[in-house]
Amino acid sequence: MLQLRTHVPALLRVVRWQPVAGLVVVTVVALAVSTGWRAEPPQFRPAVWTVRLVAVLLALGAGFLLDDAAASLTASVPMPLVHRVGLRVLLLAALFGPLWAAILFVVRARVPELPVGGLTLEFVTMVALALAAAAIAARVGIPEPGLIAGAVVAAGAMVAFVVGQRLILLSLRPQDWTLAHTRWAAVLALCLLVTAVALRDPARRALPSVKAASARR
Amino acid sequence: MHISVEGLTKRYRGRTVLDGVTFAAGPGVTGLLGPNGAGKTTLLRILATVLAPDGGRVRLGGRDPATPSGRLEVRRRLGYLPQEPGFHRSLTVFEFVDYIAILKEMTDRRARHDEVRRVIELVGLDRERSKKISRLSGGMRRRTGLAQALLGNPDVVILDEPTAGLDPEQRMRFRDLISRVGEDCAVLLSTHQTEDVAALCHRVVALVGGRTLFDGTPEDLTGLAEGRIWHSDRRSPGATLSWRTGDGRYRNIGTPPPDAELAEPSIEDAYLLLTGDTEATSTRSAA
Amino acid sequence: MTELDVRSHRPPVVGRTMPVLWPLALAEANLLLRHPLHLLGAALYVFTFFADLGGSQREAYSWITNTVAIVWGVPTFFAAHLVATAHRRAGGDELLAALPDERQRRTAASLLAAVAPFLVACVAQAMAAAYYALAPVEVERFPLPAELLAGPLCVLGAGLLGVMVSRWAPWPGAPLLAMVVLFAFNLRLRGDAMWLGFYVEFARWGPEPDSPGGWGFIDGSANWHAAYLLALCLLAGAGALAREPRWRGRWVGVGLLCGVAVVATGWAQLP
Repeated sequence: MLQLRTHVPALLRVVRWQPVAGLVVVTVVALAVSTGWRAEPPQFRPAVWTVRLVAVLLALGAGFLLDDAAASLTASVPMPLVHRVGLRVLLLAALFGPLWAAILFVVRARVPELPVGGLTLEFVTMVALALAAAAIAARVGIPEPGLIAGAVVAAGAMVAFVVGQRLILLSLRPQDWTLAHTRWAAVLALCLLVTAVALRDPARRALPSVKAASARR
Repeated sequence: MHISVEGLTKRYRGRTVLDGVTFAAGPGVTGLLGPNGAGKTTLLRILATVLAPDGGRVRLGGRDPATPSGRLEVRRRLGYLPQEPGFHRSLTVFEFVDYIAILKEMTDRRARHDEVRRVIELVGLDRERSKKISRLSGGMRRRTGLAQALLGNPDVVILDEPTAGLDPEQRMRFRDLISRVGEDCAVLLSTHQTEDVAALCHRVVALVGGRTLFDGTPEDLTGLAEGRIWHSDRRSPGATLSWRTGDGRYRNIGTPPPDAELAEPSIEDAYLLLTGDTEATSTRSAA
Repeated sequence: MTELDVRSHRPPVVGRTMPVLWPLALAEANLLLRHPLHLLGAALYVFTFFADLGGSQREAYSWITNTVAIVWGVPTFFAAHLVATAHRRAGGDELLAALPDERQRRTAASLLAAVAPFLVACVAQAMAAAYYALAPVEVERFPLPAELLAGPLCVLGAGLLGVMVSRWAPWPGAPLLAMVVLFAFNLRLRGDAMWLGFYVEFARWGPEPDSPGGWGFIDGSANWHAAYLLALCLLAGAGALAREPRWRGRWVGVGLLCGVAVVATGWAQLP
């Protein structure tokens, strides 16, 4: 707790919040325009698609929180990489969690049959995809992983949109819903696995090769 | 091609970075010395046509970079290595130098590739030419930057701290290369390494606080310290600088302590004396 | 460093006008084609091709006419933006500023480079069309040439727009915002106005959630739609070139002409 109190203010100063804030503003405006200002309650189908669009918008910005201009300097600090990134993810959760809950609350108040669980799973998966892409980009030394992550999320959302019946992900038909969300859960698990691998301490992977090189000598 | 600078001034947000800098440099290697913040990089950026001065006159090979046509002609005859070149990480050494060669208007593919291979070989990177820049060491990146600066036989070569990050052997080779480049064209070399200046340059310009404090030969610069460098068994409290050397004795610049012996000055002593005196003078003025 | 002659005996040929543009465009095209996001787009295209095999006739038609615009176009937009801003992001502006080449020519080269993914997408689209023509796959109606071309034209437009955004808004979140605006615009289009978007579903689908029940094709001209997309591409190119002060008036004029072409072709394509 003490560490959090020390690290979070410092993190707030160095984190790249501008793109995230920009996308949050766009999200809120998009939501207000599409659902909030109309007198009549929105229909079920447009409401679901609006929430999905909001999820994509928020996920687009998520990767920017992993941008670290001082990555080469912080690589050798005692705090492990997974903890440093974990703090950023916590920060992201602190921002996106209440925001997502508020969005669902607002839309559900007008469309009571909104499938909150399924949509939340889709949202979490897209954010996890952004984080996985950003973690890999940072791992291979790309200086601005956020933009790469945003592009991957956009491309991923497009694929989910166009992919056919055999691998359907964005259906609204009740008979497809469970299967589609089982696929979302599988993608989420894959993203978490990729993120975990990308966040391993780089020095840990180097040790065996150093040993092997010494052995060859 | 000659470099001629007269009364050059540049201000950043009300702060004067260059204050009437004047010097001229012809064929050969000219060293630009000065402490951090002296205005060296700003001067080089102006000479490289990256930045416009606020006042004064610049001529490179008789051409005025203030006019668009003059600027274009200067750029066609210029090789420039900035302090931080900024490499496209996903390119290989060959691809990067080739890209710069295209931007230097070399259109014939075969001739361009021959030229790119030549400069890469010149800086000793021929074995690494297919390696991505992101996989190179800092010294190798520096040499890649140097290679692009030598493309197309430039008449003026401007190098901003080119030896930073090079190992001693590479620095020796670099000195050899630059001295040969300087046989035909004007090389302006900004560095903190006074040994490089002593070994390479036929002229030295020292900038301190945005002003030309010295302009002459390295021997003249060393001569400034003649009779002011002392060896002693104790540290001199009145010296501009004093430090303990490997043999356990003290080398003092400036005021000697009692029982001190006069020592042979080096260019580094003279440079330290020059900048130290200026610092002391400005401190006194401020007081 | 070697004992080679420091001066070249045969200085390379120096070209001072248009010829410089072509080698530069080739170098930029090489970077764009090899960019991971462009490769991702191509891979997604192949993935969705196999994922959609065995779908209905309607799905086959829909895949071949508009998938390339989305799964290849979107990553190409980001790739073009990243390639066009690569030197700036790497801190190489100072080095480039001291070279005789003009920034406008580099922009023009980046724009020409966007033709490369377009050509690759055309080849891929032709191969997919050939597969659907020759393989025993039932397609409700074989797509018209203009319908097949619409997707690759979107890839071209994505590349050009990526360059334009890189010149006018080179900061990191800008391409994301541009993509969001583009999609929001496309999603707002309903009925006949759908033709004005970059993504047009030529097949008429039934209402969601049972959309495959639809039949027939939307009214309007696919040929004019292809011309409309091409006019948009040219507009993006002129917009990118108008960023530099040199010849801005000329490029603004070209942009205005392209704008007129956009309005005319946009009107002509409507039913």
